[in-house]
This record gives sequence, C-alpha cells and structure tokens, in this order.
Amino acid sequence: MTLHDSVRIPDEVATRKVGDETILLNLNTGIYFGLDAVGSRFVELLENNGEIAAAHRMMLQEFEVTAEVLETDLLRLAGEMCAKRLLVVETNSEQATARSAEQPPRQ
Amino acid sequence: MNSIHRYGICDLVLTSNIALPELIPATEGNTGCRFELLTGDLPCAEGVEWFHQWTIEEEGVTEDGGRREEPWLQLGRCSDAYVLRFPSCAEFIVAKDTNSIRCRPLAHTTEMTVRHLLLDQVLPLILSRRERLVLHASAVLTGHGAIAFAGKTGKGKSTLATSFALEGFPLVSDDYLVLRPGHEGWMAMPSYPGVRLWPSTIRAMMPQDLATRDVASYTMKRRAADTTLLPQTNEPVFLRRLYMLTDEAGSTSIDKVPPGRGMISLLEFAYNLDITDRAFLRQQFETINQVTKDIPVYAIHFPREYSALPAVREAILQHPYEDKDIDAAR
Repeated sequence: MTLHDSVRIPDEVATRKVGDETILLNLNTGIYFGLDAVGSRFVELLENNGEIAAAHRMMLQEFEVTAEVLETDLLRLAGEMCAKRLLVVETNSEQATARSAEQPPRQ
Repeated sequence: MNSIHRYGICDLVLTSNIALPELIPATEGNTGCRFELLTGDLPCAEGVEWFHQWTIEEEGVTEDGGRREEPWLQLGRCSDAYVLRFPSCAEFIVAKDTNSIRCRPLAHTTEMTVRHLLLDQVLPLILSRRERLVLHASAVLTGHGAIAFAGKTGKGKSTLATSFALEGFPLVSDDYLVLRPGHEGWMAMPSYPGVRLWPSTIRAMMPQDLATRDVASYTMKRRAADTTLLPQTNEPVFLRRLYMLTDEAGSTSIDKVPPGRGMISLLEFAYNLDITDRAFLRQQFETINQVTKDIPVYAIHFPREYSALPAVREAILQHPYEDKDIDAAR
C-alpha cells in the first residue's frame, strides 16, 4: 500500500465516534477495532475523501510529526485495517494515471 | 403424560417437561418459551450449516507447539432452527423465534448437566435475541442501585458478587446480566437465585454447614442458593455502574475506562446467538454505544485473595458517584 492508494470503509462496517475514539465493527466477520484520537482523525478524513495522500497532507498540518513518520504510521494502520476488512483499497491513483495514458484516445 | 412446569427467569416465563429446581415457579404471565427434554436414542440434527464455535483450552500443546483446544459449543442453523451442539454433552434445537427449545442429550449426560447447560449456557444466548443486551457479568444491588462486574471466565465475577451478597447486598444475577431500557435508565433484570463457585471459594467464604449442589457432571463448581445467606432481588433495578474485572493486582484501584475502550469491552462481553445476523449485530452495536454513554464503566484491579475482599468491597462502595452517574440512574 502507498500514499497514492484510495480506500473506503465498506458498507458492512459500522463505525461510531465515542469521545475522541472511533469504534469499527465488521458486520460480516464480527471483528471490532478501536482507534485512538489520531486514528479516528485518519478515518474521519478518509470518510470525506478516500485518498490516503489527502489525509496525510491534512494531518501533517494538524499534528506535530514529520512527513515520513506520519506516512509510515498511516500506511501501517491502513494495512492493518485492510487485513481486518475494515477498509478496502479502491484505486491507486498512480496506476490509474498510467492505465489511462496507455489507452488510445477516444475517437 | 409428563407434567408441565412453569418458571420465571429474567422476566421470561419458561415451561418445561422436566423440573428445574434452580428456578422460581411462575404463577402468572404468558409462556415465552417452552423447553422439552427429548428421550430415547435420537440422531443428531442433520442438514445443519455450522457457522461458529466456541473452544476451550485443553492441557498440553499441539505437535506444532500451539495451544490445544477442543470445541465446547458449536452453533449452526437449519431451516427453522438454530442448533447449539455441546459435542461432549447434548444438542439443543432452538426455534428461530426462540419460543421453543428441545434438547437431545447424549446417553451419558445427566439431567443435572442438561439443566445447567440450559440455564447457564443456552438461555443467555436465547435472551440475547429477545432482549436489548445480555452481558457476561454478575450484578448486585447496593444502596445506590445495581452494580455489575464483567470479565472473562475465572476473573472473579461470582466471587465478588458473592462477597457483596454475604454482606446483605442482594444478588441480581450471576454470570449473565440482561439489560433492558427503562424510562429513566437501564434496568438490570434479576435472573435466578444462587451463584456457582469453586469448592475452595465456598470453603473460604461460606459457613461450613452450608448446603450446596453439584452444577454439572463435567465441572467441580457447586451451586450455592440459600437465599437467607445470599439474598436475591426479584425486581428489575437500575444499573448504576459497570466494573470490568482486570488481571490480578497487588492493591485495589479503580480507574475510569474511556468510552471507546468501554464500548470495546462491552462488545467483548455481549452474548450473541447468531454472529452472522448483520441487522442484529448493527442493532447490538448501537445498543452498546448507548449503554456506554449512559452507564459509567470502570476498570477494577484487586488482589485475588479472599482476605482482600472486604477492602475491595469497601473501595467499591466508597467509590464516589459523579453527577453523571446520578443522572444516569434518575
């Protein structure tokens, strides 16, 4: 997974913001997951715009952290959530751009 | 012809073709659920789609060094029923609407074991479909309302509840707690008299001449149900607080659990007959979210020594009630 991936919370996942935290429950698997304030903000941003890069840009302004550390943390969290099927990868913007460049122009 | 017995448990009227001496007879109310112990050489249910199982840890390790586990309860469904199979004891067939339960015991399974499986294993799962929330918890009634102790098996829920009951605080329930929304808060529904304890706990805490009963053939635990010694409330009561029993600690301390952590804990301790029912899971998720908002959740750390119980009790009773707690109980 990279910053260029877009992700979304699938329909079968219920989420609830509880104080600063967010609880997610996959209704298909029964697996639940708790996120702290930072993780909650990440998910909140993803709900508005699934691009991890966009969330990364916004959180860099909000938290005192270097770009590299934040990238590592967000990608690790996104990967863990994908493994638990609490997040699914939609598209990869770099690959999508490359694919569209390979396609012949419409007649 | 077999006689039919009627009992009350958690506000449910249960009829049965065998006596259930653990329960209090019901004199009024419509039957909510019928239990039938089947007899004869009966085949296991067929065409069952198994969707979940609970395991218990066995002694020793597997060949690859893992924990050795064996299935304790297998959950499945067929066309019009759920099947709850305890592979070493019996199979319970529960109608989808949970209005009837039939039990096929294995040949060696005693009626006492069937009663225990019904009352302490099957009924909480059935009640999870009929009520808003059933938690793996014991509860007692204090001067401020009911308090509940939730935790994994072996963490001391029954021991702590018994400690309160022996001091005159009535038991509300042992091991599972039904919560129902009321006009002014969450109500804890009384289950049935008594507690299940290890013999060593009974010896340490109870009078030497106390009469106790076997619980089931596969466990050493015994049931103490003398209501003069262990008073029991028969009415629903407001639940004021939930205490999560943590791992053993050297001294007693009580910490507020953040709401998100509290919600995770309640998800962990909630009974659920059908984990594949998405609509039910979503509803339970919302209920737990609401309970977490309404009822303060605390983590309690304490030494697991009988001699420490009076101090633990006192710490809980003296634990100051915040305004939010009082609002929740109004």
